[in-house]
Amino acid sequence: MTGAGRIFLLDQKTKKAILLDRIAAGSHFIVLFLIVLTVVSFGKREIAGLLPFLVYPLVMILLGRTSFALLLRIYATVLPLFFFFTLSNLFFARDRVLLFGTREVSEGLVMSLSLILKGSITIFSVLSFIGLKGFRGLLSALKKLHVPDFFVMILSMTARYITVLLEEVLVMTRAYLLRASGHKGVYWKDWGPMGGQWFIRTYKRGERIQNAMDCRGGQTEYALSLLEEKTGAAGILWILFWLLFCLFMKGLLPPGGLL
Amino acid sequence: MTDSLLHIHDLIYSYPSGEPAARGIEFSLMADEKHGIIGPNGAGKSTLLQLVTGLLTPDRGSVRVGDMIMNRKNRQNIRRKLGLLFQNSDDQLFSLTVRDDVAFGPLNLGLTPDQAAEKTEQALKAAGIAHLAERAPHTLSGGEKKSAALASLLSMDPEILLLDEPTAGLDPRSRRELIGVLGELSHSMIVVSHDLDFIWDTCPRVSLLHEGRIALTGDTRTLLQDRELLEHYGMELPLQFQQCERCGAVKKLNTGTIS
Ligand SMILES: Nc1ncnc2c1ncn2[C@@H]1O[C@H](COP(=O)(O)OP(=O)(O)O)[C@@H](O)[C@H]1O
Ligand SMILES: [Mg+2]
Repeated sequence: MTGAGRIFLLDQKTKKAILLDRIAAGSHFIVLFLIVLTVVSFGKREIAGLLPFLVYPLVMILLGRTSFALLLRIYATVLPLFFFFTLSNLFFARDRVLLFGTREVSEGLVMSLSLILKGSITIFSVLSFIGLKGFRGLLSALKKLHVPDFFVMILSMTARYITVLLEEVLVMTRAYLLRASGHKGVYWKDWGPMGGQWFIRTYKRGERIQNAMDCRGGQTEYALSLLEEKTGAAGILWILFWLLFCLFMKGLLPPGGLL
Repeated sequence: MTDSLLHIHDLIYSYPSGEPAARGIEFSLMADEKHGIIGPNGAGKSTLLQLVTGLLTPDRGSVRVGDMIMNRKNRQNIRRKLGLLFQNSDDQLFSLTVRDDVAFGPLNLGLTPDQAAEKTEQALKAAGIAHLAERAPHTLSGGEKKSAALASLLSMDPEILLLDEPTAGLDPRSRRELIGVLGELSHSMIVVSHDLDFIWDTCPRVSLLHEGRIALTGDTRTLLQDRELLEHYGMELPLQFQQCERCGAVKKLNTGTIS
């Protein structure tokens, strides 16, 4: 599996995460949402204010079960996207100069750095959440937040089978290319038949999965009921802690805290 | 014939495309019997198992399980007694974690969440994969997937296990482990396979499916050593009995089960 597809490898759950596992997926999700929202709400030229928010993904990674190496690899595949988006800043906001400490730097550079920082915090937070709770955790949270059942079910099937379906595409194109004496890629005229075949394969697979469900009673609401989790005190504390953290860092609390 | 656990009478089925896949199958499974069904690719083995579980409806003939004759109304009740292991485990494991998948069947049987959880743990242990409970199916190896799929059947306490090519795609070690796990189970089972060594190790009785009919039934020890007979039906001796081409010696005459 290559590139961003590695995100599915995060869903391994090979290690235990004793502290963070006590907190329900729903609570984790709310904190994740809170952090991302706060980070995104910072101004375009903000850098220093963002730095403390690196603590959140750091905690999630250190106390979680995510392999840092894998995270970095996924991150590396999306990093070029950022550069692409920030490039314009570098070119267009070059004339104005800001004071950064005692040095003068162009506004464009500051804006780029700020954007990269925001993006990085968001990505690491989301990835470490998936590494901790898996896609199942994500769905569990969505269910808690009253996302409609049929939608959760579709997402669940997508998360389960996207790797399988991508593999079929891979197998089909490989089989095609092995017989395609030398030329690179799939000819335009063959896209139709290939797509059609992929559709039939997917459809047949869908049928067999339906069969597998039918053989075991077939009612999908039970699959959904398995996703239900109690919030619990640990979850509430977790949310409260990060809520105060965010408010404090945004300067919405007096410096002395609440005490 | 009345004391058989499962009885198939004059089963005839053609696919909508017109391909006849069952042409009058007669078959009985006794209580506690482990019965192999062998036959070359396309003999109709998978079709037979789908007819037995009611996933396909026969054009003619009947399937009786216990004292129930399969019809539209009692199909679900009959399926509760049967555990069909699919040829492709990816079709069978539709949940996001192994534990969810194993728990799906018991919940559908109407067990409380606690009872279902207990059944789930037992089944995971019996299949030897308690340590994989939290894993996502797509991160498992082929052998692990097969065991997980087996666990998802065992948690429903089926009376009869129906295994479709259980060793297809397994490496020798996973194959041996599967033989070990199946050897521990006391269920009646039908094992469909063209892996004759595997049948030799797991099933005392065997039937040969040829062009949609049961051509022969007998003791595994006798039938699977009859080279002429097997070759007549398009199969070869189990590997362990094939002669060494250079010295003419039989590789290994192993009459016990591999442990
Ligand atoms: N979905 C299908 N549609 C049409 N023909 C099929 C289908 N599945 C299997 N067949 C045909 O039915 C016959 C028996 O197939 P199958 O039961 O899969 O054999 P086996 O499992 O012994 O390899 C084969 O000739 C096969 O081509
Ligand atoms: Mg088959």
